[in-house]
Amino acid sequence: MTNTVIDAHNVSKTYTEGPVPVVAIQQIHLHIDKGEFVALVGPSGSGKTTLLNMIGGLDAPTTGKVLVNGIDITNMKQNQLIDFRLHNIGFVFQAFNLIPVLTAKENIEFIMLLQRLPKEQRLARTKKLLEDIGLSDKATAKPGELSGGQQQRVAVARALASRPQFVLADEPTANLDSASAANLLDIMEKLNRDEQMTFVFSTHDNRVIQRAKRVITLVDGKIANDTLQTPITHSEDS
Amino acid sequence: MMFFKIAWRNIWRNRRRTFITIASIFFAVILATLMRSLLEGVYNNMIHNIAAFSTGYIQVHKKGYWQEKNIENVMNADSNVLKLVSSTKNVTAVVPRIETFALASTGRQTSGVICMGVDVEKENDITKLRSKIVSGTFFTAKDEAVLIGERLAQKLDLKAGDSIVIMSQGYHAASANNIYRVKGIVQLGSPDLDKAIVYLPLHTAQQLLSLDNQVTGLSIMLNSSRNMNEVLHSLQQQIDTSRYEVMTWKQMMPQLDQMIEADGGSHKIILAVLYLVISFGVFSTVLMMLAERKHEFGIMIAIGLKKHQLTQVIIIETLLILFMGILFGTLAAWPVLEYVSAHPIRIGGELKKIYENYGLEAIFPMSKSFIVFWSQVKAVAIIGLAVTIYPIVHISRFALMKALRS
Amino acid sequence: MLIRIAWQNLWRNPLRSIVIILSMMTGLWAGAFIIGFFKGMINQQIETAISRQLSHIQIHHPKFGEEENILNTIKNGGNIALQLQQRKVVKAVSPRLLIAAMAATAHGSAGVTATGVSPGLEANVTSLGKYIAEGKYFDTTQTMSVIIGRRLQEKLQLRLNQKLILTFQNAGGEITAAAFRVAGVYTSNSSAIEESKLYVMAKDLAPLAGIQPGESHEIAILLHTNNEDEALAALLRNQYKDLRIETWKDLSPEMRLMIDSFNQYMYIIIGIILIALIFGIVNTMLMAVLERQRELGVLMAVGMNRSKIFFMVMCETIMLALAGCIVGLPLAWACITYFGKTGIDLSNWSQGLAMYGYDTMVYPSLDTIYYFEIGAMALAASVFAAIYPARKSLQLKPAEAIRKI
Repeated sequence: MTNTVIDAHNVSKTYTEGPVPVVAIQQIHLHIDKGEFVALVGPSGSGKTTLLNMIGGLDAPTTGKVLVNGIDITNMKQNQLIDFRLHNIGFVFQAFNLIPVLTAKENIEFIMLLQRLPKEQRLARTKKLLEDIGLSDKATAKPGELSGGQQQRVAVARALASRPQFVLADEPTANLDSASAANLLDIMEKLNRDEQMTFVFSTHDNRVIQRAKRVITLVDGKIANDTLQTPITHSEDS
Repeated sequence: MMFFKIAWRNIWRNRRRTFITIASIFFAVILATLMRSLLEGVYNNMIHNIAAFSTGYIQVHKKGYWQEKNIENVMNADSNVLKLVSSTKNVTAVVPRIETFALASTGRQTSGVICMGVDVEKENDITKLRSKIVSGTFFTAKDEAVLIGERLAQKLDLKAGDSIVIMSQGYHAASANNIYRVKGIVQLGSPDLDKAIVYLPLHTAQQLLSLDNQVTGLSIMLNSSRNMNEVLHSLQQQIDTSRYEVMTWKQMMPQLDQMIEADGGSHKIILAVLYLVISFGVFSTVLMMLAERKHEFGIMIAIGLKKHQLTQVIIIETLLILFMGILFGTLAAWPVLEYVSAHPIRIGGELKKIYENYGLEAIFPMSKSFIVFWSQVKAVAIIGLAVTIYPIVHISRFALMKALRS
Repeated sequence: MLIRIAWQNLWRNPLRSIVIILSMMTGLWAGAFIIGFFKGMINQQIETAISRQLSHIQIHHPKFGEEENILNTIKNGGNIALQLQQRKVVKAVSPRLLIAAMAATAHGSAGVTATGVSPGLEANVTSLGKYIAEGKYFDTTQTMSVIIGRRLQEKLQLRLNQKLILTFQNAGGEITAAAFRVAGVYTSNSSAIEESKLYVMAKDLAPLAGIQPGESHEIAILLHTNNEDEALAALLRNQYKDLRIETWKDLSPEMRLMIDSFNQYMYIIIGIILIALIFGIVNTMLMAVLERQRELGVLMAVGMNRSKIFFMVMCETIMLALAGCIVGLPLAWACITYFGKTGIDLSNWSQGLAMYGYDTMVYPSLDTIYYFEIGAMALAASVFAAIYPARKSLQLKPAEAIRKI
């Protein structure tokens, strides 16, 4: 049974801030179903980040609409949108994802605090996620005391903490060495498999692209290619 | 609680800056506290002296007496008024007094004096008159004798045991001349009084002035000057105001009140400028806290923190800094106040003369009263309100995409 | 070159620089204005005191003030006054009798100082004639008239032409009483004076008091300018060795102290404000240095030596202060000049101020030199504030600073 999580309908985005209007995205149609593991690729300036931001409700499209789980998020008010993101979408950014003054454990718990989950639930889920990302021993470390790879793993854990519909990751491995990148991908794959979590990530790293189940290529703000593939995994548990 | 934790940790991300900012508030608070305390102390002392030695915090007298200061406007000392006043809440003492002008003469020299007929025991209770004797002895209620101010004694070249002639105008224009022995010489601390005061036992004064049991006024002492208006209203409701008049020292001596207000005002302006400059410093700290965390704020909003929650965090941070400044400032000022209020600074030299010319005791007591600290809290709270306006506006206009791209 | 870099650096974070410049500006402006205001108040007080109460110089019997004795007179006071009048620097002279008395009416009595004057001479010294609010100044053809202060009039409920009984001890030691008719009521800026000082004609008072014509208790001398007083006082002290000669500064120690302590007062106020400013400057410059770690590292790596970096940070700080001065001090000057012309009305507090001899209009004024002094203090403070951030900038290690991207 297929279940559409993301439905982008005829979405365009034009930036008018500069001296010349820049068309970043042109009339894109995109469906992503629950449990997909999608890589968004393309040269820089092709509109990957813009598309991710609009799917994630961080930025509004100029025309067209975005439905998440059947709900139109394009016309939501600001606070409504923030609330929607909190409960429905997980984010992993390129770098500096975490709140610097909170420990790894607190960063993960923070999002559930915002959701007003009861304490036992929060603690149990935090514990489980820390185990999933293999950082149980670093629970009380602050972001500054973690390596870049560890920080991104905590970011992934935090993104999942709220039990979102899907997780958006914008170049999550851009600042990582290849071992850390592979490790992060392992964790994402595992969570995709175990928790049926949908991941959409942008990247231009070939090794990362290889591990996606579906690859969408953007060129000049349009979808140039959208293919399903059998991921090549290197991880020990596959 | 989580927000508080985040705020608390955030302000220590840049220890140096936080310390300097706290130090600036600390400096302002300690300076302002000491200044206010000194002002309050000096003025409270002055008011207390004046209240105790002459008018009382509140005075009840025959209607019209204060306007004319006339011996014809006397009231009966045993009236119900006395009982009524004594039983009023917050009143610690009611002292009957006869106050009139007289000439005091030694035969060779004459001087204008304030002739004060007092209830010896009650007077001693509130003014500790007995302890102000510098030579001779205290008098009793039955003595036909007087106590005179130290400077008056110098002026008239009088020693304890000498005689003095008091000339005044008695009740119903009766003549009022008599000779008295100077039983003691008192030093009251207020040069104005020391230069002019002559104390007589109440009964002796009544005889001199051809009065039966009358007095010119009832001076009322209170447990605290803060209760003055409350007592005033309560007395005004109960006392027959068509015959009697109830006045506070502020009404009796408006110039003094205004002088205190004006002097206090000029110091408050200086403190306001100080706080203003400090608040600029706090503001620039807030500005830096906001500027350097743009990206972080972007992430926080992206993952689901609402703007008003983010604003809360910033406000808590600002308030924490302000609170620590005022806490440490107060804690540092406290021992100084504690010490000085127990051991008031006595001043000497030329400054002493000037103080005395103004009729003040040359003493710098400090007040530990709540208002001294409270006014600093208020000042810092105003700074807090002013500097948090910016983050509120800043966050509400916060452009998420820009912040994330930075 | 360094100065240009420093200047440009300031405008990389304009809001922050503007906040500091604004705080400097506000602090200096308010500080200078407060000082100008106090200076104006002091000037006002001195003017009033000299023109209405103390005059420039007063001559008394050496024991005057120490003991209350009617016999402590200047024997040839009239002659001395005449001689003084001949001097060029002297504008007016008034010999006076001063006698402690009780003033009584049917409505009550009050202690007063009866001042016996020659109407014409007194009017030239204290302009008493100009301050008659009710009735008229002395008419020399009449006798036994008195001019009383407004407060005393209210206290004793006197109307014009009513009688007032003055009782005092005469030179022979006897109690004397005489009735005077109220000819006029004067007002003063000081309510204490209005209540306690009344004027009669010396020619009426002297015979009653048993004082010879030509004797005086006090001679008040008014000069043409304020700055001749010390010289003339010195001269007179030489000439009349057996008399006490005092300038207004001697007579009023609080005024002398006020003048002497004005500079101290200025340093304290400006000092407090500058200390408060220093906190803000140190903080801002420190942040400016720390957030430029990498850039400063690059500058050092390409060969800019430490002293130049130190100098650059110093320059930036001083520029901020200078900008604050350039805006703040002229603003203060403009305000002081404006209000110096129009005056500031303090009549809300006037009763309290008048009690202590203040006028209710204050005309702020500040000599030009003070602006420069304040400016110099502000620059010195900024140099002081720059030391810590500038030293911090030197402690950066180029390699480390560059690595921190």
